[in-house]
This record gives sequence, C-alpha cells and structure tokens, in this order.
Amino acid sequence: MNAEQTAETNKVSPELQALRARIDKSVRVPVLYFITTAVAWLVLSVFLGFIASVKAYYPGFLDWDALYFLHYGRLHPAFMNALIYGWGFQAGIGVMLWIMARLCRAELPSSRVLILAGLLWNVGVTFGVISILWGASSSVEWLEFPRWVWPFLFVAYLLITAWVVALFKARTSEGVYISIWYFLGACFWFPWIYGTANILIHHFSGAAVFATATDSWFTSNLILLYFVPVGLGSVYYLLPKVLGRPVHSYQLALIGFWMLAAISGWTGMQKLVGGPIPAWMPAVSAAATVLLLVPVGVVALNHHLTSGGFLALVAVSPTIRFTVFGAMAYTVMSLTLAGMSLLSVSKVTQFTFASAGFNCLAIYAFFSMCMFGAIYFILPRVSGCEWPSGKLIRIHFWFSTYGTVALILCLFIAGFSQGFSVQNPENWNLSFLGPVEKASAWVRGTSIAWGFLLVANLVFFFQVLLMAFRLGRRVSDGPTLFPAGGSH
Amino acid sequence: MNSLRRFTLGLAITFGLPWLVLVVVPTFKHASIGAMVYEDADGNQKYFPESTVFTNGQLVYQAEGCVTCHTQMIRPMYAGFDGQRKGWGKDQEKRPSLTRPSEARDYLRESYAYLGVQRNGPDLSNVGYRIADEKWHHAHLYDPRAVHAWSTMPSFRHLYRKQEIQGAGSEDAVATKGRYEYVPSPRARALVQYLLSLKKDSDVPSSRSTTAGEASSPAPAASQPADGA
Repeated sequence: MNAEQTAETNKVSPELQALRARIDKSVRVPVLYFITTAVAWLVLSVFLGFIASVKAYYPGFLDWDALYFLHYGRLHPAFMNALIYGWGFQAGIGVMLWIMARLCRAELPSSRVLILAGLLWNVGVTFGVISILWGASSSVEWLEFPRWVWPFLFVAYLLITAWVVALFKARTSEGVYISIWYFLGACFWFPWIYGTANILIHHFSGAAVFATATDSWFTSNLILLYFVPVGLGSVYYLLPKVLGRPVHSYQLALIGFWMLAAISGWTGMQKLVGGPIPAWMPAVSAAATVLLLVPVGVVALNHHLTSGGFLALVAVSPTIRFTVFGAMAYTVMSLTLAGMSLLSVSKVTQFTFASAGFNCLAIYAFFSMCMFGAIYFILPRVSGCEWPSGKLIRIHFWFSTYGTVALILCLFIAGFSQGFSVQNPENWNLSFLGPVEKASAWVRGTSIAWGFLLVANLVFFFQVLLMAFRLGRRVSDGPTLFPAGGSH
Repeated sequence: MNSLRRFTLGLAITFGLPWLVLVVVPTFKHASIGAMVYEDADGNQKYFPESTVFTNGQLVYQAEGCVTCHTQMIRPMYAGFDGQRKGWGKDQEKRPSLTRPSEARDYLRESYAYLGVQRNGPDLSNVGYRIADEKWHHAHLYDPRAVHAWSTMPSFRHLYRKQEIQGAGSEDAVATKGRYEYVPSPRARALVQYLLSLKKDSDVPSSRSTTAGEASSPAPAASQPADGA
C-alpha cells in the first residue's frame, strides 16, 4: 500500500508534478544541509546527555584529570544547548523551508545565502558549546553561550526569516495554509524573544533578579513560540497530506493559532513563583499556562477530527506514526505545564528534576518526534531515493518511544521524590542526604533511557547519512513503510 | 490571513503586549534599585542589604555552572518549605526558625541573579552563615565525597594546583600525594570567598516588614513577597 503517496501522486496533473520536482530541487541543498547537521548534533547531544545522566548520580564516571571539563555543571548546559540550538533549531529550519516551499508552490530564489546562514549558525553553536565546556559559560539557562555568540545565531536566523518570507511573497498557491501561519509566526517570534533576552540579560545592567526573570520568560517562550509552532506547523501539513483528507476546521485552526499567539508571551515567570520578583508576575504566568489549555484543546480536537477513523496508517506509515505521537505529546506537555504551575504542585516540583522532565517532554516527546515524522517524509523527496530500511525506522521509533517515555517518567518521579523530601517538615533539620537518596534510583533509570535514545538516534543518523549521499532504495519501489506482519 | 502586513501586525500586537508588560516595563522600572538606608529600633544607621557578594568569585561560580544544581532563592512558606529548613538562613541555632524569603535587593550589584533551576544540592543563599570555615569549603570542593560519602557533587580538583612540598608543607594544602601537595589556585580562593559572602539574609528595614518592629528580631516573621521596589 503506497500510503504516503496516496495524496501525493494520485490525481495530480503532470504540470504540478513537474513544479514539485523543481521546488524540491531548489531547496534540496539547504534542506539536506540543515537536516543532516541537525541529526549529527542530535547524536552528539544525546551522547552528552547520557554521560551527564550518569554523572548526576555517579560523579566519578569519566572523572579523569584530563577530562575535568566534563563535570556535571559544565556538561549539562553543553548538552542542553547542543540539543536545542544544534538539533532543535536546525531540524526545525530544514523542515520549515521545505514545507514552506511546497505549500507556497514557490522555488527558492537562491540557496547560497541559506547555506551561509547555516554555516554561521553551526559556527555559533560549535563555539558556544566548546566555550561552555571550556569554562566561558554565562550560566544563564539556555543562553549559556558566551555573549559574543548570540549575534551569529541572530543574524543567521534573520537570513532564514528573510528567505521564508521571500517564499511566502513568491507564492503561486491560492490559499494560505495553516502551517504557513505557524512557520511565519516562528520566524517572527524567535528573533524578538532571542534579541530581547540577550540584550536585557547580557548588555543591560539593571537589577539582577529581573535579568533572571527575563530568562525564565525566554525559556518558556522558546518552547511555546518556536518549538510549538514549528512542530504544529509540521503536524498540520503532514496529517492531511498523508491521510489525503483536508484539515477538519479552518475556524478551529484559526482560534488555536491566535490564542497561542496571544497567551504564550505571558508565560514563564511561574517558574520563579515565590521568588524575589513582584508576586503578580508568576501569578499572571501561571494563569496563562492554564488558559493555554484552550488553544491546545482546540488544536487537539482539530487534529482528532482530521484524522478520525483514518489512523490505520499508523501501522504502516513512519511519518504518520511519529507525527501522531508528537501531536499527542503536545497535549500531554501542555497539561503538564499547566499542572506544574499550580501552587500546590509547584511547591513540590519547583527546583527539581521535574523541570528537566518537562523540557524533555517538550523537546523530545513533542518536538523531536514531529520532526522525525517530517524528516521521514521530506528526505526521500529531496534526495531522490527512498529510506534504506523500514526495519531500522521501526527500531528508531520503538527505541525513541521507550526511551522518551521512560526518561520522562523517571525524571518526574525523581523530581517528586526530591520535592517531597525537601517539602517534608519532618526533615527540617536534616542534611541534604534525603533528596539525593530519594531521587537516586530514578536518576539511574534516566541513564538507561538515554541509552535507548542513543541507540535510536545512531540508527537514525546512519539512515539519514545514507539518504544524504543518495544511497537509499530506488524510488520506483515505492515508499519505505514499516515491514508488514508482526505486532509493531 | 492573506495580507502579510496585517498578519505581522496581529502578531506584533498579541505578542508585544505581554512583552511590554511582563518583561520590558518591570526591567526598566526596577533597573536602578539601590541599597536602603534606615534606622533600626535603637536609632543606629543601617543599610539594607548589609553587604553584597564577592563578584570575582561569582565569575568562577558562573564558569563552573554551579547554578545547574544549586539555587539561591528562599521561597516564602506559601510557595515551599525553604524558610524552615535548618541553617538555610542567618539563624544557625538548633531550633526551628523562619528565614525570610529572598528579596530583589539581596542580589544587588550582581550581574545576574543565580536563582537556580534545580536543587540537586542544597540552597546556597546563606551558605556563608551556614559554613563559615574556609578550609571546609576547600576540602569539600576538592573532594566532596571525602566530606559526605553520599554527595553527588563533582570534584573541582582542577581548581587546585599541584606543587612540591616545601618543609612542613603549605598550610592551605587540601591533599598530599607523595612529594606533592594540592593547594587552592586563585580561582578556588575566589570561589570560596564568594561562597563565604553569600549572606542573603540581612535584616529588613521595619518599614518594609508586614509586622513592623519584628524585622530585626532573631527569627523575623516572613515579610510580604518582595515587590522589588
């Protein structure tokens, strides 16, 4: 069953097919560049994440004098930044460019500038990550790169924004698709958030606590106004495309988009509830995270009504399976975000592994799984060959699923154990042994989970490399699907 | 949604509002808070906060990423049980007391307030009161598990220099190995000075306390959440 081709080749005029081929050719080099380097960063960051997870309970691991720079305090930020800026952003940019070009039915004017932007971005991230390990970290969460790095990323991203807008202006398609709103939003919001945070934190000397508050706002908005719109843009494109059904409701999509746009900017301060900032700030943010459940519900309903009854394709189509997982994780992530900002819950979870659990939920379970789905769809179309092995895709899916679910559960249980121990009045005069000991078993669990993710992504990287060098199967054999038979 | 200009305007308005209200205005409004001068109950002139941190050492704290596992933020009781943990405030007696929540002025003159994201280790807001022993800090930074067997803190050996033992050896040596001993580098000394300077529990001027007059008592009542002004 040529599941992925149902909507793609059936009922399509030869002119449109030729146009699609031209579009794919015009974006091929930048899309391949962004996606391959992204996946390389993903493998590196998961590897660093694995080492960091071991060091969280066994600091003696790899603790040789020559490797002094790998201690948890430097390694963990290096890993998170590699994951976010190396993998997350570049995967998002690659996917965004291709889908934009296809939806706008526009060829990319010139790809040289995009390659330049990609180089700038990679230079920035590479120097940034090395600087953190070197001991030049700014220790500002998710802005740990030394302050001379951010202009690289900022300029690179502005170039990408310019090219996405150029694609939009050159569009020959009639309507403006929902995915386009989300992608344009992501192009617009990120420079604003990133510029604001860097200027106010690194180049403005005000009161220290407000710089910290700005960082809280930044990390929250990076998720809600970059990862979420790019992930949702991809879901809104792939679900209807592969299932061959239109998005159920344009009105619902419109409500979902504008509510996300209007509410997200208010979130972030709830992470500092009880902190030395005016109490209304965390209160407003906490209320915003709960209000955010409305657009999340609307989007989930729309996705459900779009795919309702047609999800049998989950069994065969890698794209659909990863995308559906990601879309469902979006709902779980939003419920978690709202739950963790309730005062009764944040008393326990604030300053624990639970916050790391939320980050993994947002960046891996939601965003990365959406990106995997999109990459399985896009690479065959830009590289001109099919994925080498359905079995390896299956390994990627199940190891990712098992790893990410185990990781998130372990981090949350570790977080609650830490939190309850600190929170217990009986422990008022005890040392910090309690929280360390209570969380220990679950922190060990995260290492196993990272091991699974490492295997999953090594397999993925291997296939992506083959695809990038056009060593996949022939297109005429049809798309690579999950192998028939078996219960998976 | 067909016009790019209208779309962008919509995004700018919806996002610009929270950006202004939640980030830009508070940042600039509180940009120039300074120390407060006040008279205590006995008519002595006092400053709030009484002291600030040793900034050179904070650079080492920043470079090593200590904030990955340590917070510097005491929450009021409605938001967490920090205030009543023994030793987390100025009061180090072996009896229950209440540490006041952190205020914006506690972080005066710092380039960035390392409030923290996670507590894999204890809060350090007032570690300067809790552990005033310089040698203890050096021994702990050099080999945390020599102090607490259960500790998960990394060793910061790279902040200590190896040198040949001269005569009876250096007073500051944290460890010896054969003919060699390990002594704190300037960075290690700066870091420890910083830790010793972490005393974010200055008396609050009574005018800022909800229960006026109690602010300078040994166990100050929790003041209102700071409005930072």
